[in-house]
Amino acid sequence: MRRVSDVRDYQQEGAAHYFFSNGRLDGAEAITWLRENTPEQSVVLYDGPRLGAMEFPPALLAPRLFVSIKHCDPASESFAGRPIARGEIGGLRGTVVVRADRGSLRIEVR
Amino acid sequence: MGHLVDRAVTGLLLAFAAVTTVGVAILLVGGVVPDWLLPAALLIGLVVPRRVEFGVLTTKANRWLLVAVGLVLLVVFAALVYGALATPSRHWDGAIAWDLKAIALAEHPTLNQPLFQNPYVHHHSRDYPLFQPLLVALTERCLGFGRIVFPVCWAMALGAVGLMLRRRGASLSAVGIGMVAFACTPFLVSPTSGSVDSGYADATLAAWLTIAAAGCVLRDTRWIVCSVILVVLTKPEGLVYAGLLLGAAWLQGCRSVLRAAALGSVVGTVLLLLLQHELQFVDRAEPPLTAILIPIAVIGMMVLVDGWMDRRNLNAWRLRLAGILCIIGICVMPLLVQASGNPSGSLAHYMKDPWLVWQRLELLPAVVLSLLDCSLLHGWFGVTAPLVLLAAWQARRSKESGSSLGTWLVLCLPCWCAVFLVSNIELEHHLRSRMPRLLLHATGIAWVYILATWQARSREEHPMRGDRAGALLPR
Repeated sequence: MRRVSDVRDYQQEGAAHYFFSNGRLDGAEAITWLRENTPEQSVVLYDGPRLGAMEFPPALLAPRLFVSIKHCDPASESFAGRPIARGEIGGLRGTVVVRADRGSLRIEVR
Repeated sequence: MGHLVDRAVTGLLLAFAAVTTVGVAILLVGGVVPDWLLPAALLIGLVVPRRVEFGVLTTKANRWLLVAVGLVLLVVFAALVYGALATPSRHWDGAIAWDLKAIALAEHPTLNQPLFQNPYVHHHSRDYPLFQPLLVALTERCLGFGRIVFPVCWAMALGAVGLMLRRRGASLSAVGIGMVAFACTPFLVSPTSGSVDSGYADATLAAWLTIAAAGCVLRDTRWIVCSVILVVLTKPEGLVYAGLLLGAAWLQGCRSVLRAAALGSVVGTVLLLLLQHELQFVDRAEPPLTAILIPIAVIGMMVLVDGWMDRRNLNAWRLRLAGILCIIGICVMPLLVQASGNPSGSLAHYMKDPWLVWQRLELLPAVVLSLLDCSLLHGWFGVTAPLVLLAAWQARRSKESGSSLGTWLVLCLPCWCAVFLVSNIELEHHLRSRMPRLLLHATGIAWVYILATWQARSREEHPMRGDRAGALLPR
């Protein structure tokens, strides 16, 4: 029965909320925002450790690619032949950066 | 029925081994794995001629028992198919380490894409072997539901356990009970991290190890070669398990097992080292020749020394020689890691400083306690561990087919402990998340050992039962 309830929870909550609530992580809404506001064939930059919460975005948002700002200047237009994701939050428009720590994700625009 | 199951298990195994060998070779040269590879390999695997002898049944099967066994296995299979297909992976590593690669390969079955080619693209467990994601991706492209391969692997292992018992002359009732006992091991089929439909590669690895163990009992060269190739190319730990099987076969002087496992290990290891190098360094450095030469030299030497010791009747010296070679092996392990072509990879992480084991020996009691806790309590592995001990007690004077499996299981214990002693991960978390999955790897080996020992004992007590099948096994 647990298998059935796991499947139901996954389907009802969506992958991001399911994983983040089970893993006691914050920031599932960041995944939802990225899915809705960035093109699939884009590169999304992130700032922070690659382990912890940041492990999920590449799998949940494929085929988008995730690259650390240590390896790509946010002012760049493209990386590995793909455009770098840009967006607008609170009237501020610029390069989308996922701000990560071990237990949470949030979206910034730089 | 037995012939049909044998054809299905062997055909799928040959097909998967061909897909991984050819598929990884194509990936390594920068090609695109063609969609026809999987169907072609399945077709060839299923029509390759094979003649297998089954023991004569001398006892009448309990029809109701067989009906109950069939129903239980059908219900479990249906639950696993549902769990595998209803959603993508619902557990951490399944989603982040395995699904991502399968999605990328299903989109473009080549390494020529930024996820694999650009070292700065965030990619968890970058150098992990690609057999499972490749198989899921090719099945997805052919059928549209790639995750069906997880319950299929479970069914193949189950079939191998049943065939092992039947080919040794067990009654149908015994075959049914043995299959249910293995197939329903709680940790294998419950909806938890590492189980069959979790998307992790641990249950897949356990399936190949089960088939390899059944192949060892039956001295079935095809099963051993193919499953050892798959073991090595499914998870980094597979390389260690293949090495331990070689060690066990060498110690027990099981020449047919040793040679088959040696062939599988050489093919698998050469492909694995080249693939890991490519995934880690993405064309920025040529793979060192030593990555190919080391496995061929080490494994070839084992086979040659085995033959030499057998001819000179030096078998009593095997254990002492193995002890000396182990110490030399540990001393040169950091050099081997450097020469492997992937000194910063996932396996190298655990092998580059073996002396950490001695520096952290004070952690050993906690690791052993966790091993006992996971194997005996919680009910995750049912009665597997007590039955293994009972089987070992029964088999203590026997030189029967299961003896290399017993040695294989014993050799796993120090390796499992060493994993926790050399790692920098916080011990309590590491034990909790990893120990059950390590035990899962050997669950099939343990059940094949238990059932083979039980069957051998039954043959000794009832020499007429299945003696023809026993006589058919090559020595």
